[in-house]
Amino acid sequence: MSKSGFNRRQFLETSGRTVVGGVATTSVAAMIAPGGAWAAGLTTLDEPTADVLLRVCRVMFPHDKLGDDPYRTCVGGLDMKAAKDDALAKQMKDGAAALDNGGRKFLKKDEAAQVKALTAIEDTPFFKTIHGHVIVALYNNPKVWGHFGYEGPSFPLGGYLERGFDDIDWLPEV
Amino acid sequence: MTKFNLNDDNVVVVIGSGAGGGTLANELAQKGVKVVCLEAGARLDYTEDFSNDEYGMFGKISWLDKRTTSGDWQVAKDFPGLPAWICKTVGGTTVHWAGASLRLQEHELRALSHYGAIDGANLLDWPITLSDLEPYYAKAEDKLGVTRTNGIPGLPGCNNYKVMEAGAKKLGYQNVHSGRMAINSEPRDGRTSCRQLGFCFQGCRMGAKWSTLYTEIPAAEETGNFEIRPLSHVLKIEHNDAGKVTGVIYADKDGNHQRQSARVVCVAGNSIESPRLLLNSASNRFPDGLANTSGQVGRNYMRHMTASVYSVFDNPVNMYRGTTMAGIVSDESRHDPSRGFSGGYEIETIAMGVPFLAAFLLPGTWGRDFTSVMDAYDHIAGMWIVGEDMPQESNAVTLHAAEKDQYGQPVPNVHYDDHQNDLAMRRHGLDAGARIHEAVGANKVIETPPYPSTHNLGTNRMSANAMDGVVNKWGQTHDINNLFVSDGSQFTTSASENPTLTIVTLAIRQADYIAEQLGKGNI
Repeated sequence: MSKSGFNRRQFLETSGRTVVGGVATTSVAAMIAPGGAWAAGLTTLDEPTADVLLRVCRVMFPHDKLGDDPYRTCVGGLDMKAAKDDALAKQMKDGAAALDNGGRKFLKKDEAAQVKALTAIEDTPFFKTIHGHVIVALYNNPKVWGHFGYEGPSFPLGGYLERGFDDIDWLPEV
Repeated sequence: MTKFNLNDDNVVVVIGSGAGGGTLANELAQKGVKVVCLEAGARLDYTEDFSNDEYGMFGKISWLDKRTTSGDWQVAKDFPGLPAWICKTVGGTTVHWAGASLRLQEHELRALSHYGAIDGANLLDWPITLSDLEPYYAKAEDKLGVTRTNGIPGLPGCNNYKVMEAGAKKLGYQNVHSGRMAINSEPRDGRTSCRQLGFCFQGCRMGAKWSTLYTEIPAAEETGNFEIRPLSHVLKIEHNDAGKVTGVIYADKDGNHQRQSARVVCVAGNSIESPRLLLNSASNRFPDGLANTSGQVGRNYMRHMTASVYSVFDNPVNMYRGTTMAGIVSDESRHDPSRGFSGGYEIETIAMGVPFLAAFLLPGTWGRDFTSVMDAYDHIAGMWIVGEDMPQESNAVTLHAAEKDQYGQPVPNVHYDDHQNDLAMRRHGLDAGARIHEAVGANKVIETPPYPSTHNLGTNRMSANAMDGVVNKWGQTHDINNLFVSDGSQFTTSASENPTLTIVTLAIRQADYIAEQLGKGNI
């Protein structure tokens, strides 16, 4: 049989084994209980540290329509890395403590003040470690893609040839 | 599958299996020449191993061995350990490329004569003309199945293209179309046609985009004249007392050193690894590295003047639906010094998924300025500007004085300073891109700095005079007649076009020359 000329239905039938999978999801997400607490498991970082980091992640990359869960997933990822990296664990704990100045001060500030506090430390290894982690952990999480209107892997669905690759309808005639 | 003996000194050893190496190897094998192709990366199966996963595929196919950077280019600040976005896998960077297949322009092949000398630039004319290349361009376009050649229809334009097209035409640009692409718009050559998946950079899961991985390599294997050894990283090229190369030392998949004898060695490891290998092959006889009498090995590193424009619109675009490089505006690729710079640039669409757009849009930034753009992701259109950058002798791939790789060899440092001409062209291109998007209603325009380089060129450049470059018009090194360079490092100047078609063209032409010289007993 020719490899060519599939319509979408035929294509999906022949590629069916790849319909599930294909996306590298982070298993970290499953370890963090949705809805607030860290109850489902911080392995290395303590809760006060994790609480500060959670807020740092959101102030760094604020998406108001996203709940806390994807940000918790980011902190969960840092916790997993810290479990295997003592230096990172110390960096997170010390960095969060310094930001919080021993109390709940960072968390009690308003966003503008929190931005100012982060701006003051944006050249530190602590900040850069978190930034480098979150830019991947937040945006490479398929659970947030719907918020951005991004549909993710298309091969399992036969591509966009018959699913809107050229459906733009607001451009002026040329 | 054919296997050649390590002691077989009748084989041509090709180092690398991408656009240059993979094509050359197949062309030679088709002519009956015995070829051993050594590829540093693993062999993947596009039907099993490729997925629509930006980070996942990046980790699987990219060249991630240690490299360092220096110079004032933005890449050294944003991605100091990743100067280049190229591949370590069978198929090389033809797995990652977007498929744009453009011929160089006649005047670009004689940049020095046409532009005149430019301060700080090491400009030179190529020792070949467009008419030398034209018959080989025709063969390359047929091999790759380039759309808008050989009666092959253009690809249909996706949303991202339609935005660029509408803006460009409104501004009066004339040369606007969905590109000359090595992506099948209809089934051809045993490969299926494009289903507008997106994810061209992640390896085409359809096999609709030409890659040596599933074209040249299997075709070469069918001849019985070819063996590819994946996970074989070449460490050194050896030579005899007569100054001829005799074989290569490589680390196999287990890290053991092997020596493959060779009648001819062809280096096609892309413009960072190829000069690095020549430099790492220094000997008592050639203390500055092989083929380096001119001192030009590693120098004149070019990476194209690049930048991107991403714009936010009031209405949805969904740029990620469809081919990544979905169309082109070529009007600015002319040489017109009245614009304030020499040479020209192409404007091509580009699109990324949420994961990579976040990483590349404005590296290092954070806060609401950044997230407000990301929040509008599905309302964004993107375009890439890619133009001729100036060869500068001080822009160079050199061996790091202290850092070593996993094999104990000095890692390459990639030094690049932007030339004034590059900066002026980038400014012009960013303004042109913004105007195109604004012509159809963009309400916010983001100027995205260069990504790590995918177009790496010039570090073993072609020259008529042996003191001006590393190889002659056949890619044969000036110093050693059985040592060839077969990748983009041959480019004398960068021109404004995406380089793959020209790399393939040069490889087809070089295969004719090598076969002829072997036949005559000259090498």
